Amino acid sequence: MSTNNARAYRRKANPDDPPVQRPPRGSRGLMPGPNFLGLQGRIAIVQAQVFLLAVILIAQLWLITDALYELLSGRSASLGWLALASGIGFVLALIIALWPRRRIEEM
Amino acid sequence: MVQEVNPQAESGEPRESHDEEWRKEFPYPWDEDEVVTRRDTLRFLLAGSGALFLATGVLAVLGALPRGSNVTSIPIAKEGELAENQWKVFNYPDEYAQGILINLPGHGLVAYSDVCTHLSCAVLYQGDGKMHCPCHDGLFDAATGNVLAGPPTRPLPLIQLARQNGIIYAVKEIAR
Repeated sequence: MSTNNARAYRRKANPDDPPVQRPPRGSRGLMPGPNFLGLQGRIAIVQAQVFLLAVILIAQLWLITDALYELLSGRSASLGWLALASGIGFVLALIIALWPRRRIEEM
Repeated sequence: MVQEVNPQAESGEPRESHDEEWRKEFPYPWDEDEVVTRRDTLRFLLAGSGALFLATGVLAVLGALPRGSNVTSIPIAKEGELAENQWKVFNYPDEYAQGILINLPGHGLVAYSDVCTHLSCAVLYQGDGKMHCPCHDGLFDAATGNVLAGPPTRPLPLIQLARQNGIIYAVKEIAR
């Protein structure tokens, strides 16, 4: 492999990767990223939504495990609080899943 | 409206890259692939979150339902049967569960469920005012049933006693 070819090869870690771009500068400073309102931006937003919802789901799994343990141990004092916490998690999941899409559509 | 993501367009690469040599050498039939998009995953996670919330709510409702009375009067010993610091094990409330009756100096007869609140081993009275769980060295106070040492975090369930005509009855188990 020649030196020029090696240099060109190093620019792309993966042949599928798009070329790296600097984020655009808006009136208030740097924007979230190149093409953040376009397809790439939307993909990044959905990726973040998936990650956040996965974290919430793991927390809810822990809550239901604890609730089951409490119920089978014959104690019910904290069950309501556990259900409330799980409900808050669900509301958060709804907000995360639905809110950014509306913001994008408004823009 | 945000459009569904096309897996081929998702890579963001220029169109001419489809003609790259490695794509010809390793062709991938995208049309035959069953693609799960990020949005499908998002919907699945959202549905899972709602289902877990509902299930936790059902458990809370089950816990709040009124329970049937757990009063079951069973004769377990005769009065004067146990000398001080003597103890015996009895079946309560049925043959599948046991309690421990102790004649504790200064307190008289006390009874607890003998199921350790750590991992359900049977606890034994040591004779020095303490009950011992041999599985993981849990120690309980024989006067109160509270945890003194070891891995258990909850006290032993108390069993209420009653005396009638020289017979000691176990009346009710109180979970704590």
